[in-house]
Amino acid sequence: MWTPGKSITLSIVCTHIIIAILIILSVSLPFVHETALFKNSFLFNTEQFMTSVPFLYGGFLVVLIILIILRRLLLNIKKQDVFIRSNVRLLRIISWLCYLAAIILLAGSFTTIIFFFIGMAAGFIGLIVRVVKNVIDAAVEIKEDADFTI
Amino acid sequence: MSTEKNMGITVNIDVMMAKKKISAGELSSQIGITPANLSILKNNKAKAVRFSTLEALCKVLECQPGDILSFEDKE
Repeated sequence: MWTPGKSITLSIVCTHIIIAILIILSVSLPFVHETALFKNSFLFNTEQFMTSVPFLYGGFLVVLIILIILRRLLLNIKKQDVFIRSNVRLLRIISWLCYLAAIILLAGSFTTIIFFFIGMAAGFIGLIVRVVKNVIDAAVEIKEDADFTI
Repeated sequence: MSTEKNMGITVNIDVMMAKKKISAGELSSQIGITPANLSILKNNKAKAVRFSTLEALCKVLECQPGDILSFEDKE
């Protein structure tokens, strides 16, 4: 039977899988790019790839940090520590990192138009995470009021 | 009823407890709250008190709300 505990475990497992994929992709991308599939592609040919590398890996690094913080957040939730100041701080950091990723990708959008759209998406996700942070912050206030209501 | 940080509502149940010669454990058990919550109340860390709790306190300590609550304007 599906339970909230199993759901959180699934989220943690998915986070670990995506971290692993990201690391493998980061390491193997230069080699994968040498394949004919990408080398002569319309969107990501060799010239574009070389100029986009700093922005690509910058984005990868930021996303990796986001995933590590997300894992920390999920572990807190698994321990039943949901509405706590620490989680509000983690969500704030995630939102700012999303904005950073957006800036990096938007800056690199001159290399390929794909970065522009992904950068805009990252900024939008950062905004959504920030709103979620505001909601959790309000919930923490309400919980503290309730905890100290005798 | 709530106690905001800048407001000066003080809960003074120590005096009434001494008058009635009742311990914290006994009092918490009689009014139906945990010793931890009674401690929060006594140390003025509570943000709000339910009327039901206040009623139970007044009943056990045989006093009026004004005997255990005081206000001081701290602004």
